[in-house]
Amino acid sequence: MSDLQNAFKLSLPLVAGYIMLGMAFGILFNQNGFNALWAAGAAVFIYGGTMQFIAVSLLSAHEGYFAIFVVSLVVGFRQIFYTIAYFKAFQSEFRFKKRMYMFFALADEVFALLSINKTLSPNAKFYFSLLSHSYWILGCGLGALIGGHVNFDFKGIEFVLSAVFVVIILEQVRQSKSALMSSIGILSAILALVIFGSSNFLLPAIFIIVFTLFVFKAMRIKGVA
Amino acid sequence: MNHIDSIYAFISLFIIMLGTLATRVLPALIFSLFKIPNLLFWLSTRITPCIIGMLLVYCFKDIDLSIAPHGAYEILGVFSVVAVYFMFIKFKSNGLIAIFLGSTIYMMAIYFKIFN
Repeated sequence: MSDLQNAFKLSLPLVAGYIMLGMAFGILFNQNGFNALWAAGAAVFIYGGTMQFIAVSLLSAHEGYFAIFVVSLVVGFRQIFYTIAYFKAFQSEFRFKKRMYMFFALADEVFALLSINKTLSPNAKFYFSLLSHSYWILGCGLGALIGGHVNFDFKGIEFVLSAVFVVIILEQVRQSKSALMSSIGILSAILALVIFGSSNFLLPAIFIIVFTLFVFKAMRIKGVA
Repeated sequence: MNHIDSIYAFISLFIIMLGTLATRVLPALIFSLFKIPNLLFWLSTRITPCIIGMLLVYCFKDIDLSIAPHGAYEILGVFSVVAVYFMFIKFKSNGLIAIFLGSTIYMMAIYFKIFN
């Protein structure tokens, strides 16, 4: 199979997920007075479901510029860890411009899907990122075009993206023959969710994960250290 | 632009773009200039599966277990994905099949309101 075919196959779960979720954003954005060009622009340059949905509420609340900047940093904080995780690989696989795009385009699902497909060629990885980004842009633009005119009901379609993570965890556990690392992530996140509540638990969750990994390393626990 | 002033909106979206670049591209630039500390490199080889576990929890963060249907749809959905994944384990595309069949089951369950 060619690089593009491989990339397309890997991106299949995101076709439905990104287009539908993007459309949900586009419709919401349109209801706040923005046309398809604005929605597609947000998708191109911000490219993040969480941030774009939050942006709609920030804008309609007429939030100040500094507060908006801080929110965007907090929401994007986890990306630093995505960069750390793929830095070595991308460094050897991509020239500067493509590499910077690869880091920019590391959305949650892209990050996760790349992690279980280590045999993919650099070119295929690049196509995969580009395709996923395109689905998102397409979804956001379409949603804003449709706006409130068409009443379509795809309730529950966002579950596709949850299913992606479930399958990736299963693959990861099978490949490494250990559920330890996935469990650390799941349990840390649940702990942070219980303590800090659903609107800002990602940051504490990451810190609990990092702390746990360091403790396990110090204790020389097999599979971590 | 009826509801929100377009200049304000443009500046705000531009600022969000800067914030996004600061978290996605700036770290990569910094790591290109300075050597990654050993401990950070060690972390980078371990953290990916943990973060994916975290993202799974993130997907379900808004489910309130204390009120009906107590997350029953999501439990059914996740269970379906896992079950289909192992049912088709001999196929190369079992992951893809699990994602689509599992999601279909979830959406059907919601559509027919089986837990309400």
